[in-house]
Amino acid sequence: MTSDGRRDQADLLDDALSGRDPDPRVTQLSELGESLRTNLTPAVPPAPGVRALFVQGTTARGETRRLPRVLVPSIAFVLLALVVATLSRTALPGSALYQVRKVLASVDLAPSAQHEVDSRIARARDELALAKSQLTSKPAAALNSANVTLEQLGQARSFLDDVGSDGRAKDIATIAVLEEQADSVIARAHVAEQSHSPSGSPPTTSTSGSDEGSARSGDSGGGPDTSGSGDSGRGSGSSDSHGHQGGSSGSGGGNDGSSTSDGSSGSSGSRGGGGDSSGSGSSGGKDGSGSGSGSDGSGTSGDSGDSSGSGKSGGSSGDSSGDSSGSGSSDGSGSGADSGDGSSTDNSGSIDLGGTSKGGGHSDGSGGGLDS
Amino acid sequence: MDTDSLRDNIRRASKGDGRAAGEIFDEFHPRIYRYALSKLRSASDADDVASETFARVLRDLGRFRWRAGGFEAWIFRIASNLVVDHVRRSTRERPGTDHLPEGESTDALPDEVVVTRELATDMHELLDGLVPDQREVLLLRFAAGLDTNETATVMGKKANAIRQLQFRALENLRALMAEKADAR
Repeated sequence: MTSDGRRDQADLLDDALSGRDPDPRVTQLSELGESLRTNLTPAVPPAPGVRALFVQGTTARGETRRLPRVLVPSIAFVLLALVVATLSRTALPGSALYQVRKVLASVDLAPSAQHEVDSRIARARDELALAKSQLTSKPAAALNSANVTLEQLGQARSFLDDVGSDGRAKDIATIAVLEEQADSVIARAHVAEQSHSPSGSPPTTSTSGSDEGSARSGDSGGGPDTSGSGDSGRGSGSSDSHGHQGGSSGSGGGNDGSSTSDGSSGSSGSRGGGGDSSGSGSSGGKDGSGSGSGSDGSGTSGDSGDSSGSGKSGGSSGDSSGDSSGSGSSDGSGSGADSGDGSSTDNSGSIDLGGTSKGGGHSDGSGGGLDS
Repeated sequence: MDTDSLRDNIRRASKGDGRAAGEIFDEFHPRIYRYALSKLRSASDADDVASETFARVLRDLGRFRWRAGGFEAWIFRIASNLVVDHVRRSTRERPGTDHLPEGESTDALPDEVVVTRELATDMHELLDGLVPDQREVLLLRFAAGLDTNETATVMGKKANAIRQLQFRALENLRALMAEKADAR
């Protein structure tokens, strides 16, 4: 028999054993198969115990599977809710979870906005006190603390919308006061830092108004005092300017070689339109022998108003000896005035020309405080 | 039990339906018992294998996925492996006619019982004369009641190969019977 023939017969036999009518070629084998089927299928003794165990096991297994099917999603949901609630409790206004926080706060599951404002104001107070205490010894640390203060106050402001109207006005006022103080500390810290700087001498050309990031709209930039000094006659002017408030004073120096004038520094006023200083210095030089001492152009902090500094030095004409060659009266008036209206958003300073003197000497003893 | 009913019973049993589990047991326990008996020739050993097979089914039913050959192939592969393990443990694959079952029915006449037992004994002796693959095909097809495809899945062969094996096995069995008849 060929292999194809055997394959055909194998298929025919399989068909016959599967219940179809047997082909005559495989009838004998099919009958043998049926005989085999009969002999190999004896009666099976019942196994009720095994059956009962199998059925009970299946039922119990289904119950144990049902429990996790309900519990696992429930636990996962609760855990997710806990995570969201935990993250929301510290959400700040503007963040995605802040609305969740408001809902939680309404059922006392998160701190209220008033509580947040109070805690941040308290923190700001602490930082401000720390900054003040470190102002002279550690200006950098003081600056840092003052910045933290402003940061805390900024966060407190962001919560104000959700604070009741009763406490809001009071909080706004408190925050404003603390911000003013922080700004002042920042400005003074800058000055203190400069005075601690290794170079020791103030720059000739003054620049100020570097805000160090703490200036905000309407605030003054905390710029260091700078002073400029003129060449001859030692006229010096100083300006303290930052932002809109720079007060300056300057005095013109004398024009004579020997005359001196000191236009010393004017100090700045404080934030917000106030505190412009006026300083004046005058020096009079005369004929080389005169010495003028510019008065300290110390500005005084004032509340408002522009400052005007005037310095006038009258020098009589004369031969000037020394360095100065000019004659005539020098008008070393430092009129370093700048307007400070306290309302601008600037940190641009006014230009302060303190102590310009005309004509006297070979140069005027003017210190120009330039204020950016 | 047709395929759809079987699938439905398996799905329900895996979810804890005791009635579906009972139907599965009633369908497969006798077939597994017969298959194990034909391999081990011991009623108690066959009982052990059948019980252990259903213990495995209970353990793994949740992981069962319907593939080629279906549930029959899966459960008989478990039974086949358990038979092999049993033989290895007991090293008893020799025919033990003392352990053959008592007969088909309790109300059978004593003469019929004797004839049945003799036929069964003869058939097992003849099957022992076949090569293992041919004998396995016949046992799976006629003792366990699997079809060609299910047998192929259990044995890890193709259906055509099973048909060829089945054909040769029956031819050889017929030759052995003729030889035995001539010897008598």
